[in-house]
Amino acid sequence: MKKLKLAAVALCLLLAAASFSYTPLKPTALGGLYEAQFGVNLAYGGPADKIYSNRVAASGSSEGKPAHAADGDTSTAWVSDSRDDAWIYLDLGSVERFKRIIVRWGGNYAEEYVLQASGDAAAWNDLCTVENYSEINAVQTVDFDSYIEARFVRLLCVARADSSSGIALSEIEVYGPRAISASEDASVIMASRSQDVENMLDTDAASMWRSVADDGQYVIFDLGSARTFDNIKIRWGACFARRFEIYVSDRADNRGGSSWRLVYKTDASLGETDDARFERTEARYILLELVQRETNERYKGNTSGQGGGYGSWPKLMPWEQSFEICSFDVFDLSSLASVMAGHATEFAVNAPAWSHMSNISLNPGGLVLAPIGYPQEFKALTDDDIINRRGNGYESYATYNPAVIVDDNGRFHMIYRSEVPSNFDDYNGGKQSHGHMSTLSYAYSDDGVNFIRGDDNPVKTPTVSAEKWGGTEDPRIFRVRDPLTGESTYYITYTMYNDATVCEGMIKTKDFKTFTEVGNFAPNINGRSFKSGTYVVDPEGNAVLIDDPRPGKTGKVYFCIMKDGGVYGIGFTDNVERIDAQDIIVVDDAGFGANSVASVTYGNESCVAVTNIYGPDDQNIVLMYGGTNLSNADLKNQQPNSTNWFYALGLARITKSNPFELSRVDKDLVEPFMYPTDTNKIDSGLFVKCMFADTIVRHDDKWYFYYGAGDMYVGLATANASFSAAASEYSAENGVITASTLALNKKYGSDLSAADVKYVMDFYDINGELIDSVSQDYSVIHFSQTPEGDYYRGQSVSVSRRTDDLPSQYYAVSYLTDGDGNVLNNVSAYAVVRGEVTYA
Amino acid sequence: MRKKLTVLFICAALFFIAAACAGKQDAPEKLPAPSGLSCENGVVTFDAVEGAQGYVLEINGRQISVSGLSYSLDSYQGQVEIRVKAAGDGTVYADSEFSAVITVTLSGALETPSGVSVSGNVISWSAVDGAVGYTLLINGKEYSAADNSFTTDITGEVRISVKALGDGILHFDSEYSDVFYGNVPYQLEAPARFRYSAIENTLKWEPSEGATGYTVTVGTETLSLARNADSLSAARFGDSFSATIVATGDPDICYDSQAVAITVAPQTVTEISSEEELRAIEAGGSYRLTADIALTRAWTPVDFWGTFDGDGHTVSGVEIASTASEAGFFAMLSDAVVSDLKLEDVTVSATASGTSYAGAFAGRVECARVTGCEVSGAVIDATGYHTGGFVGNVADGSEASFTDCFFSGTVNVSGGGYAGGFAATVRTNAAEFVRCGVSGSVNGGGVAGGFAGHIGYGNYEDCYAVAEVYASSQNAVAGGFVGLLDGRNVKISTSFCAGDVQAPDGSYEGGFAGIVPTGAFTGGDIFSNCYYDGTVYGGDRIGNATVGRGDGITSSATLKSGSLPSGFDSSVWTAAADEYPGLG
Repeated sequence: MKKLKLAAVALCLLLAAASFSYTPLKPTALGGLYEAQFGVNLAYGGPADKIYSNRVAASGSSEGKPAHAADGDTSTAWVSDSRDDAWIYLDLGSVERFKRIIVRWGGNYAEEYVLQASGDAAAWNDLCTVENYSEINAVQTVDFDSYIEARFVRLLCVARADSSSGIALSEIEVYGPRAISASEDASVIMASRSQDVENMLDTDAASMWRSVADDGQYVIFDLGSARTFDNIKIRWGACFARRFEIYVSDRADNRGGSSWRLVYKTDASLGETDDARFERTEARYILLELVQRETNERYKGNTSGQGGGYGSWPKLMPWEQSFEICSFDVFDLSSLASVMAGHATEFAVNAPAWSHMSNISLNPGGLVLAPIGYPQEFKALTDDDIINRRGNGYESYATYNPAVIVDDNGRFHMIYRSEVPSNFDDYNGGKQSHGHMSTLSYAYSDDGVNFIRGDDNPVKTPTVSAEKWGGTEDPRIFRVRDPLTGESTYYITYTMYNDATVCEGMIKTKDFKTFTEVGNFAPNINGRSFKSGTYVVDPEGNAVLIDDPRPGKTGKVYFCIMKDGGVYGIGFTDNVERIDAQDIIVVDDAGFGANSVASVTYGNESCVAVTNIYGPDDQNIVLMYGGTNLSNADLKNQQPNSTNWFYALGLARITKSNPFELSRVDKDLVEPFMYPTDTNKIDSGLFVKCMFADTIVRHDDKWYFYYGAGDMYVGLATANASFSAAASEYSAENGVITASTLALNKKYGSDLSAADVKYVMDFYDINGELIDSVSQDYSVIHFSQTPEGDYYRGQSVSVSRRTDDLPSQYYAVSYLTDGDGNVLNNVSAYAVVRGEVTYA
Repeated sequence: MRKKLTVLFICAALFFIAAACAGKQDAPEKLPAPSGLSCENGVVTFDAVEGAQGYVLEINGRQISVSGLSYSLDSYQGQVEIRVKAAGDGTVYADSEFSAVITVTLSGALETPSGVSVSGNVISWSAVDGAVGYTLLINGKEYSAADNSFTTDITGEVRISVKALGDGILHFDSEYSDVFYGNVPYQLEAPARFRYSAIENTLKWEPSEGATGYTVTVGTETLSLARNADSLSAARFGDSFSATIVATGDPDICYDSQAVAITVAPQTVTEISSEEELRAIEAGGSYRLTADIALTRAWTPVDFWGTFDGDGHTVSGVEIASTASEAGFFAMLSDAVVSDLKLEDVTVSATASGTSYAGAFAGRVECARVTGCEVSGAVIDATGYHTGGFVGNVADGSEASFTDCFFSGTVNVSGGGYAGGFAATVRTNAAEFVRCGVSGSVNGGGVAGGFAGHIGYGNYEDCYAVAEVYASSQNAVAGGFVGLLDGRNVKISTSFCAGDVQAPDGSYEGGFAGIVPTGAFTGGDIFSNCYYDGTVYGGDRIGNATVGRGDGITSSATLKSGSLPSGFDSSVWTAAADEYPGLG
């Protein structure tokens, strides 16, 4: 059987060479791979340089690529740069549980190394130290007594056998539990294409099932008997389902039958691994409805880099492809005891109080909006077609850069940039006729996470010459209430783009059903063109009237920051629909030196300008800007796979009475406060590692940041508004384990009282049984009452426990709670475990 | 490739067996004819027949295959004959006979009502011939109407559609009309909280929500005020008149409020000569002190929007202990005129837990004209955000002027807030300080200045601060005259300060200002003829000297020389040897 399989692979490879069509490579069979208790190799990233190679990062390379250590091919290796403390880490694609790590050396090896786990690829939890004074090419198998739960696994070298060259790693493999669906009892009983269905249920990470090349495919799995489960991990090939649904049933029902119960649904999958979690359920049959195809962005483009594409690897257009599933793994996580390590990614950790932007976490459910449909229909549209919105592909390529506001009934309204590609044959990104044309579309949500598209999208199409060929881009939104009637009007500013120059555009609405064109609301002056019109708003998105800061002026005005590139313009007006030329100040920053907004923010675009964060008395205007160059240039270089389109978000402080310059630049800059990392899931957009935001809105004591991810998707991050604390850091020395962090009381409004919180640390044995819980009470003073005031970063808090009476293996989990027991910060875990090493 | 193929085989085998069982060879059995054939509202219905694959309706001789149990006769009019039979599959079951014929007369659907309109709270539309009634959908909810009008108690925006109801025999129901978007007006709230602004000489009131204007009748004259002018210039009517005021709105949305009658009486000045009378002042009143008053117990701050003439008299022994957000002799001054009032021996202890404003004279000023007022012998201790000697915060968007006003005393702040000898924070671009002075000290705070902590805006002319300034916060901003001056819409001229300035390491600290704007900017210089005493403070004039522009500020060693510094007007300033310049 095995031989036959290899023969088939060889044949496929020949075909691939001849026809230049995509065929997945399979790894050579590796010893121990099919051991009964383990599932697929979670480290497998696909053939090196190809799919998922972004999932491996290393300290530096002298030969090969980091991906060679996770390509399932022992004949290739990654060789580090020549240093003792070389490292390589694997992104498992989602939080996984694993019990075995196999390290295969391919030349110079580490005589001593540490295996570590992490939830954010920043804070690493040592799992075990491996001493390896054996011969070259040795294999070490490290087994743990319990599953470790983490997303990243790192090998950190301590000492090399040959200190004149880097370590050579042929392969790292990581194995977790065997899925319920990978048992002998499980099978596929129906599928829209029956060939190779078993590949979804085996433990070979590379073998896959491919559907016929059409939308609306399905698979029905039979677990053999009624089973309890709460998690399904779908490990995709290069072509995945943008939209899919998972149903379960107790009987072998027909597709479309009445017994199917929906347990999971998404319209915004990014492929690679989908980690579908749902309420624990018991069922025997699982129906996977594959609704719409998508291809990994790396395969859409051509060879120019922009728009994906890698070398001569063929382009895969989603509408020509099949759904590809490597594994369909069903787990009952509730019954799998595991040891937790690390915590989820956070941004703006311990930022000063004035910024109000601390401890930002990504939405655990992933993206909130993704493109929909295919673009073929848009191939030959006329102006008239576009204006009258004929054809359905208007948001088939990208949906991003959202502007969101919450109305008085708590409904979130989102205007987003929707985009069609230019030339569908090659996605080459050229600005051709109607190429990469953007429109504005609408979606709404009652929870801020699950968005429903409007019925009449797009709501704004290019209608004037300033918008032709390029379109309407990058909306921002604000509200103006009629002072007498309280009636809300929502204004959306956007960039008019005609493929040559930009202008400030505006539409308005009262109900998000009827949108009225306001047009160009601020003229381009003195040869300067403006975009990114950002009105200064309060945390709820209301435009704020401010005492006019221009010399000699009285009365109140609205400010509109129009910053793009090196131009920092501010428009002043008492009527948001119109800014006159004489009311635009283009700040000549020549004399401002270090205080120049334009130079300090590196010529990036204004995204959001928020004031009154702490109430109407607040003089600060927090200016968020996005762009390629932030002053901390290292950040970009720290991110694997970042390109010239690396875009991060920075933060600066201007004031109501002086929006023209920065006043305390040495202390005021917090940059970047959010940026793309491996954990953002924005690797694979049109622009790799690009994060851009047009919205921050406070609702129910929570900040919502909606950002454009990779210029293709809408992502969401949130932060507590009135209190923040970073996830705990741990130290364990002298027989005491201590969790510590900084706690920042940033209540707003009139209550500046201290916050009473409890710092809790729970201890579990490796079977997940609670052993002990300790806690420490704190009264955290409001930042305004501290000597540091606006610059206060938080009060040091900690909780400790002796370790001598704890078991030899355990893990600690710590977090802060308020008086009602609500958890206030990211839960952080610390594992003390033992790995047993087998040498071969 | 484990078990799956086997399972598929078994499924296939079962299917073959099932198919074989079904394939018996007997003659088809005839189905019974459907019963229950009837027609209502133009829809034919009949009962199901077991075993039927479908049905065949014959309508006026034309046969139509249907799969369901009903059929709409939309396209038929006049007399229609209908019968129905059940269709078999031809192998197991054969078609039934036709049922008996029923005959109905259809005149089709009624005409859809049109011309929906709203007048007041009555919705009406054109009557439809043949209708036996109507159903309305108002904002998605159904209502019945016997004829072509309906009185609703819903107000505000309404979405209305109407259908005419047929008798189901000769006429069946019409379609719903297209949605009509209208408004059912509501009555506006009457204007309230009338008050007289002495500064603007106007009568003001709170706006009525939804009002777009007001109709004011004074005697025989009727005035229409625009929506944004919720005030009435009283000057033209003299100091005594009666008026009625009605809030008016867009008649499609709302109708007029009830009329409110008010009487503006002459501004009777109440004379005050005792502590009890002083404690009895009302916020909107007009008062004049006729004697010095020594308070015998703690003073409770009062909000004030009237006129207060101190007439040069002194109120002494003002002890204030407050946890409210505004603390001072006056808590909040809005639309107030205060003149020639002296406060002596003032102690303020302000310990609000939230954002708070404290000053000996007033905690906060929103709109006020203050002339010739003095505070002396004051000690202010506050934990709040805005702590000034004379006034805590001069709020944004308000007219506020201080002329010939002085403070002497000590300002002590704990925490990282703003502290200033005269004002903690000035945040309106209509602020004016003319001939005002400070003698004393300012201790603590994150942003501290001898005259003002934070100056965002304002015009400062002929002012001084002879005060030591000690900021306490890390990252503090401290200056002899002003701590943080971050605005461009500021002018400070012919003013000086004298006193030591100290702040922790890492702070901004300057002889005149802690931080000032940088770079060139249209609108001219902020400072002109400003001085600080270089013999007391030896550092730079501004704390951000590398980028800040302190043009117009000069360090002087001769402020006490007995001659006035350059630019000072001798008709305003006095000079004497060994003394700092003084104001008249």
